[in-house]
Amino acid sequence: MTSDKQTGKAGVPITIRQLVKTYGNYRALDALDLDIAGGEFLTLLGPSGSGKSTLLMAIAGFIRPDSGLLQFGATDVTRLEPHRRNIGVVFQNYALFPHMTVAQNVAYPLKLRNADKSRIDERVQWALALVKLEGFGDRSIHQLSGGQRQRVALARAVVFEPSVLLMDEPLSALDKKLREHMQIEIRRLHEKLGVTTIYVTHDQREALTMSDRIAVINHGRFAQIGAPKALYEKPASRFVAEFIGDATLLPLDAGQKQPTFRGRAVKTKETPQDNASYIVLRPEKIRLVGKEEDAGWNCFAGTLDDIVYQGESVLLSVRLEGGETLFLRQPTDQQSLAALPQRNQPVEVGLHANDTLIVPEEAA
Amino acid sequence: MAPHAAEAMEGDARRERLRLLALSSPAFLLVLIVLLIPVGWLFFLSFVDKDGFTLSHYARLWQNDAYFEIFRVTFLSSFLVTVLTVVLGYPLAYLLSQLPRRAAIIGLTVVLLPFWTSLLVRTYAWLVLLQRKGLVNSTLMSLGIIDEPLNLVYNMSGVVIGMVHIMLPFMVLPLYATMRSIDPGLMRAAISLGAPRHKAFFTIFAPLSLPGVIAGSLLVFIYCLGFYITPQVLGGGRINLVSMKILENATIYSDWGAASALGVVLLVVTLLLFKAIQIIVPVDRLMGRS
Repeated sequence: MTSDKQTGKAGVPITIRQLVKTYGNYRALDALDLDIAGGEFLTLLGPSGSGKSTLLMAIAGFIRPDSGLLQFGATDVTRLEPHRRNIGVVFQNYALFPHMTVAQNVAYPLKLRNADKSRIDERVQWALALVKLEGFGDRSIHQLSGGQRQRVALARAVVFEPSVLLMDEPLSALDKKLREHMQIEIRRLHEKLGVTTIYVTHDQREALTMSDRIAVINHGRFAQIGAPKALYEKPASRFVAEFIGDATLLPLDAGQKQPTFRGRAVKTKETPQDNASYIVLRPEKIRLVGKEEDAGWNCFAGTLDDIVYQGESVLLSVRLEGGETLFLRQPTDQQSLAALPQRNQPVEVGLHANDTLIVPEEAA
Repeated sequence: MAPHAAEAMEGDARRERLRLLALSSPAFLLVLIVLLIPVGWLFFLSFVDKDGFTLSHYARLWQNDAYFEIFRVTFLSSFLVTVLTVVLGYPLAYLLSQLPRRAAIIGLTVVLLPFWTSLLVRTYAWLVLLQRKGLVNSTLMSLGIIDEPLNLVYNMSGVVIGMVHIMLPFMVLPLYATMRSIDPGLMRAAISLGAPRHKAFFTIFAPLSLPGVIAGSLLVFIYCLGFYITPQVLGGGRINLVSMKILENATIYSDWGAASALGVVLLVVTLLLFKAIQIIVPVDRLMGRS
C-alpha cells in the first residue's frame, strides 16, 4: 500500500532521537527513537496514559521535550514554535471554529499564509471535494453531523499542503459503522495526498486496518514497531500479544530447556527465544479437536464453560484443568453449530504447531 | 397502545405542566406585583394631571433644554463607564479564564468581595480617596507627578471612577462565563494551522468572547442609566442625571406626572437601544445554536 503514490508530492520523513519528556518523576516519553519514512502512515497505538498523545503533541510542538531531537526531513524542529511547523492536526473533538462557516474554517490556514482570494477559493473547493463535502461551504458548523464535522476538520488540516499530518483519535466520537467507513476514507485520502501521517488511537483494530506501520507504546516506551501483520502474528512481548487482538497467555514451565506446558512439550514451527515464557492462544487460531488428533497439534484438555452466540461467530469459553480460561471462535454455519458440544462437557482444544506463538515477558 | 393508556399519559403530561406552572407562580406573582403593575401605574401617571389626560409632562421634557442636557449626561456617563469596565474587565476576565479552575474561583471571589460592603460605604471611600487633599492627590503630589491637586471629584471624572469600580463585577462575571466556555482546543487548532498566538487570539478567542462583552455591556449600561447614590455623592450636585431629576420631581415638587414621564422616556430609550444592539450584533449567531 505504500508504493504507487501517483498524485501528491512525497511526504517528509520524520526522525525522532532520544526524545524525553518528564512530569515530575513521571517519564511520559522515555528516550524514544523512531524513524518515519516520507509518506508513511504510522499509527501510535497504546492504552490511555501510555504517552502516545504526549508524543503527538511534542511532534505538533504543543509540548516542549526536555531533551532529544525531532527532525522533519533535514530540518531540526525540536525547538520550533508550533505555528511555524507547517503541520496539519486533526483533533479528537475536531476543534472547528464555531463562528465561521465550513468554507471559512477551511480557508483559515490559507488566509494566514496570505494566499490571494482566487487561490483560497480554488483550494477550499479542492479540499471540500476531497472529503466529499462539495456544496457545504456556506453551512454553519452547527448544521453538520459528527461525521461531516470530522470531514471539515480533515479538509482544514490538509488544505495548505502540510508536510506532516497528525491525527489524535479523530474517530473516537463516531459510532462504529461511521468509524469503519471513515477509516477507509482517511486511508484513501492518505494514499491520494502522500503526506506523512501520524495517527493516534487506542483502538487496535483501527490501527491494524489503517496503518503502514504501528508503533505500540506503553509507559512512554515503544513496545514494538512493525507492520500490522508482523505485530499480530509475531508479537515481541506479552504486552503486545495481549494488547493487539484477543489472546489468552499460558505460562510455560520454568527452568526447562525446551518449552513445555504442564510437563508436555510444546510443538512450534520455529525454535523459540531463550527467554520465551508464554504460549499465545488467539480465539480464531484454536479449535475443538478429537483426542490427540494429530502430531502437528498442541492439545489442551478442559471443560466447555459457556457458549455465547455473537452473530458472525460463536465464542466458546473453555476452562482448562489448571483453572485458566481459553476463548475460541467457531463459525455459525449450521454444520458447525450442530457439532457444538454441550456445556460442562469435557473438550480438547487444539493449536496447530504452525500457529503456535511463544512470547517473552519483555522484548529482548 | 390502547387508547385509554394514551389518554392516561396525556393526562399525566397535563398534570406535570400544571405542577410546573404552580411551582413558578410565586415568581410570576412577584414580577407582576413589583414590576408590571408599578410600571403600568407609572405609565398611566405620566399621561394625566388633575384635569385628566394630558401630554404636558412630555411637552415640558421636549421644550426644556435642561432635560436634553440631563439625558445627554446620563447616557454619556453610562457609556463611558461601560467602555471603561470593558477595558478593565476584559483582561481580568481573560486572565481568570485561563487559570486552573481552583485559582479562578479564588480570583472571582476577590472580584465579588466589594459586594460584601455597602454601596454607600464604597462610594464615600472614593470621596475620601479622590478629594483635593485625598490619598490620590497627595500621593501624586508627593511623587512630584503633579503640582496642583487634580479635580477628581464633584465632576464627571469622580462619578465615572466611582461607577466603574461599582460596576466592574457586573462586567467580569458574564465575560468570565463566556470565556470559560470557549474550548481551549480552538486556540490550539488555530496555532497548528499557522497562527501566531496573538493572531489566534484576535481571530478566534476575541470574536467568540463577544457575546460576553455584549451581555456585560448591556448589564452595566442599563444599570448605570438609573444609578443614583454613587453619582449623587461623587458628583456633589454638579452632575445631574435622570435618576436625580426623577427624585427631585417626585419628592421636592411632588410632581409625579413629571417624574413618571422621565421614567417612561428613560425606559423607552433604553429598550430602543437594546433592540438596536440586537439588530446590529447578531448575538444568537455568535453564540451558535449548538
